Amino acid sequence: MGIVSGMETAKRQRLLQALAKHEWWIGLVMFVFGVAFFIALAHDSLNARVYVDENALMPGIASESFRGGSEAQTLGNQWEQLNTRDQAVSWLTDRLTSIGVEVYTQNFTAVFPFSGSQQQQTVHGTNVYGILRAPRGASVESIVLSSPYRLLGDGSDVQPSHYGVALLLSVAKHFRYLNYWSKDLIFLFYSEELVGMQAWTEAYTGTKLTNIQFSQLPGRSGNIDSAINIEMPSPHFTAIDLDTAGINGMLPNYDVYSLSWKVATSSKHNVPTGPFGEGVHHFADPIAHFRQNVYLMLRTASVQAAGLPSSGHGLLVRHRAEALTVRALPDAPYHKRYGLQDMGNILSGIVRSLNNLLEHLHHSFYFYILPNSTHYVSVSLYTPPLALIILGSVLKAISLWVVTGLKNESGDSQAKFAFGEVQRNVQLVLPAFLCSQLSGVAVYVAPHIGVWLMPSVSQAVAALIGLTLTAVVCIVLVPLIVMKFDNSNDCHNTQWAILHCFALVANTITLTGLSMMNFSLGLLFSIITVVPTRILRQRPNQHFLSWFLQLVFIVMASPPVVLWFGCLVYLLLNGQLASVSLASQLVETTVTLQNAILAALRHQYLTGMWVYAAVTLVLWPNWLLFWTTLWRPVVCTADVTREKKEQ
Amino acid sequence: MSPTWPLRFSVAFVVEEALALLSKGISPYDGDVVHETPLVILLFRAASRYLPFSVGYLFLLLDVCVAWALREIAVVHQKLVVKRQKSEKAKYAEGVDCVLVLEDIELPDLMVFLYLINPFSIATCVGQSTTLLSTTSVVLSLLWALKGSVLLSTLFVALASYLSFYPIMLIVPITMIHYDVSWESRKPRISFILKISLSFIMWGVMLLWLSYTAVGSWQFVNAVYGFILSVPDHLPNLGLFWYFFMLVFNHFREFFLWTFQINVFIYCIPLALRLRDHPAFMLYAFCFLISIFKSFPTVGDVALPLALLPLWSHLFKYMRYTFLASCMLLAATIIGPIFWYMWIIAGNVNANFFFAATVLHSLGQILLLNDSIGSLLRRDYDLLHGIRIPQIDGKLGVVRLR
Repeated sequence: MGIVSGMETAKRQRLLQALAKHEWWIGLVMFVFGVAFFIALAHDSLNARVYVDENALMPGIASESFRGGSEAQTLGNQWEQLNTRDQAVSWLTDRLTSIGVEVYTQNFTAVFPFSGSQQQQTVHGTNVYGILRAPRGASVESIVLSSPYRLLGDGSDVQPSHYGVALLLSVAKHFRYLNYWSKDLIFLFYSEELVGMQAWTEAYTGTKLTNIQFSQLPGRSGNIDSAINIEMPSPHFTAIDLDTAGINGMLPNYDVYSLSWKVATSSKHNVPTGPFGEGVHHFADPIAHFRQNVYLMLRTASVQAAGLPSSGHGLLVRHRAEALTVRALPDAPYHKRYGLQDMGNILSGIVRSLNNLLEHLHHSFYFYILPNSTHYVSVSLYTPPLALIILGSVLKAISLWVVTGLKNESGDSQAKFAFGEVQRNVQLVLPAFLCSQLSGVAVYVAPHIGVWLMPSVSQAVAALIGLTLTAVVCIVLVPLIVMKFDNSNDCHNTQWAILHCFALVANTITLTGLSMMNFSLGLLFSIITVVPTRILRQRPNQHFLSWFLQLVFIVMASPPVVLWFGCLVYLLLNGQLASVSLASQLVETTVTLQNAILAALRHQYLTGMWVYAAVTLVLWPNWLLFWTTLWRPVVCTADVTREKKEQ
Repeated sequence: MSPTWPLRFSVAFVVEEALALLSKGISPYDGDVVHETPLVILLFRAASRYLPFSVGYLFLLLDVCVAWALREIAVVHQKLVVKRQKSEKAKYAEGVDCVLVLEDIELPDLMVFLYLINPFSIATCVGQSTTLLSTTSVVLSLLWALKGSVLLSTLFVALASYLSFYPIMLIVPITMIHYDVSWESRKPRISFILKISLSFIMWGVMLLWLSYTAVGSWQFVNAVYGFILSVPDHLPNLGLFWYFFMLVFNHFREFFLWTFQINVFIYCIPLALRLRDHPAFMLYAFCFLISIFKSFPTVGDVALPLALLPLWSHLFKYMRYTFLASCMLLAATIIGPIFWYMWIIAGNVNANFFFAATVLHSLGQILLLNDSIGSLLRRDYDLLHGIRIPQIDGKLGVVRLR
């Protein structure tokens, strides 16, 4: 019987040892090339141009006959007179009833965890929605048109959106008398931002992902195929922001973006449209154009990595509804102004196209990044650079595995036996993994314990203190515990190198999985952790400077620091860094990080966002493993000095 | 929708359905949900009626039973290997001491520890998969075969085959283990094989007849074995069947069904010939084959060969792909559920992604199996010819094992 593995020991060993010898620069070249490749993808010639893949959509063909611009203006003015939520609800109900659609309301109550005060903060709200039954269909599919409603002057700093509400009402009136709808249209006005939308989607889809208490929906329609969320702070706008980022970095099918873009930029309307309302210009200077592309690509990626949608559409994406937000931007730097009339027509154009669909959108991509309004980088393009970046870790892991199997470090390539002469000692791996996973769980529950132990301070502060203290305790304890399991007195043992090897494997696999679900978050952590975790050296008696450099690098790769940099990048890209001096910018970033952690914690319970769980239960334990291996030379140096003293 | 793919035959939704149907006086096999053997259903009915604790604890008990059996197996098997090594020492080349088996007192405890900490066996126990019953039977049959009890070992092989059909091929290594254990008494081969086959057939017939009397019809044969063999259900699982038969044209379905099912069994013949000196290892190899190629594999099927592997810890220094194989298994275990979620729940990837993860899972197992067989054969070669790689014209020669 022949054996596939063959026994050509010498040849294979030579190859592996060559790899072990050269992996550091191969990995470095791959990393640099991977990052450069990713940045280069922003260039228009390397990615694909926007196009509608689903032929049934036929965007822009429908005649748009919406004439309710002035009516919407009146409704918007009426909204400004409303002061309480009850008034708003009854006003919305009245309007919808007078239009002639089925009107229902839904009440909900959500406990806001980790609030800014000592008590739990409770939020009440009422969603109002109307269903326009399809004249040509059997109510098995529906399109949601939604808008958040916000009372003016209730002290919150959220941008008003009452013209979105007004426009939706007048659009509903217009749609009511058209006979071509083959899908039900649901007009949803949700209160309390994402919480209201979450309550409504949970009730509609019959899922239970959060702790929100809500009343059941008295009336419902079929499966939600697609959804358009609209936000309009003023009756005029100069550009449209098409926001696709959904919860946990999920995106709707690219066709819903390309469709909306095509309708809004068609010759009928010609509105500047794109992500953040940007990426519309075509610079004459190719370098300036490319720079703008890179900036916008990183900006869309940063929003996706954050995992928290900016508006209600993001929560519908989770339930296979292709949803995006059409946001009117009143202050974008374009000279032409558009009004409610134009937005109404754009909206009816989009909805008309979605109504044409015979099957669920599936042709185009679900994974993409937008470098400007007319191009997209699809999953098939951005996976190779990510693979190049992550493969560096794999190479390092293989080389560590090979090196630990060698008898001496010089490496006798001429093998004499068919078996490996060195038995690798893997006994550190299990305790180290168990410790780091347990500390992940500890950090995960720490905010709750903090709130429970410190009832006298505000919940948010207690949570942050609990989190920080637990993290510090883990940082100190995990290396100490793992060291206890290193029972060999020999400083030259390879246990730590093997632990490093398995830590690299775990990090690679989890980062791959993470980037499958949220590409941008996976990419952020890959770029920042791959190099520091590779340069760790498992040698005793290192020079202090070299060790200190590794320490700095590893600290830079720790989840809190990565997230801090993530926040800085986010603020820079989104132009939200207000202060000028460096010191106050650093403070601002730190405050943003705190708010981001609290938001991630809260939204775990309010919208089912899993970024907090992913960081604490997966990335934090991974990092602790590397952190642990870092301290091994210190133990050895201590051992050596003690031995000298004893002599 | 819950991710039930790694635990195809989970008590949670199959046995409970069967119990509900039974309580209404309907044969559980009338529908197309229950593909569990009658005795298992009756066992769980009795357990849920008479046991003072929840049925879930039954699985804990089974796990403890497997752990105990593994411990015993390690003790007996080690003694057997050392004894055999002693008697054959005259045949060995010089200087082979470093690859000889040394009696390791820690090995039995290590086996128990590795089995109980294995995420696959934990998942099987927590998920209350009835695969655990089949695992227990196989382990017990190995134990009784090593201890030389024909009746008990054939009973448990018959029970395992009754539960999940494929272990029927394990009767080959079990017979050879019996012959191997009693090699000193030099019984005639034919009567020996006859005795074991008769005992196996007797137990098998008895189990089937018991099931028949319990349910009152032969419907269960088609519902259980017909289901396993004809694979009418393409619900995604860890195996290779569902994806292939989802895509294949109906016209060719029968042909490929035969091919796939014969594929599971075909390796028995060459392996039985080649590994005839190591029947316990053959059983381990067959368990791996079943886990890779059976029609509805679960994570519990992988847990069994992985639990047995430390019995041959003296081969570890020969193995080359342990790192790669364990990375593959780890990657498949982490990526698999993610792709499942993205395909079935989030709906933004398709079946190919999840199938890629299951292929990785199978490849990891194949690599591990291949590597361990290669190491066993190479060690055998080294024992007889010396451990130094022969040199030809100053260059290292290549040993080809045929």
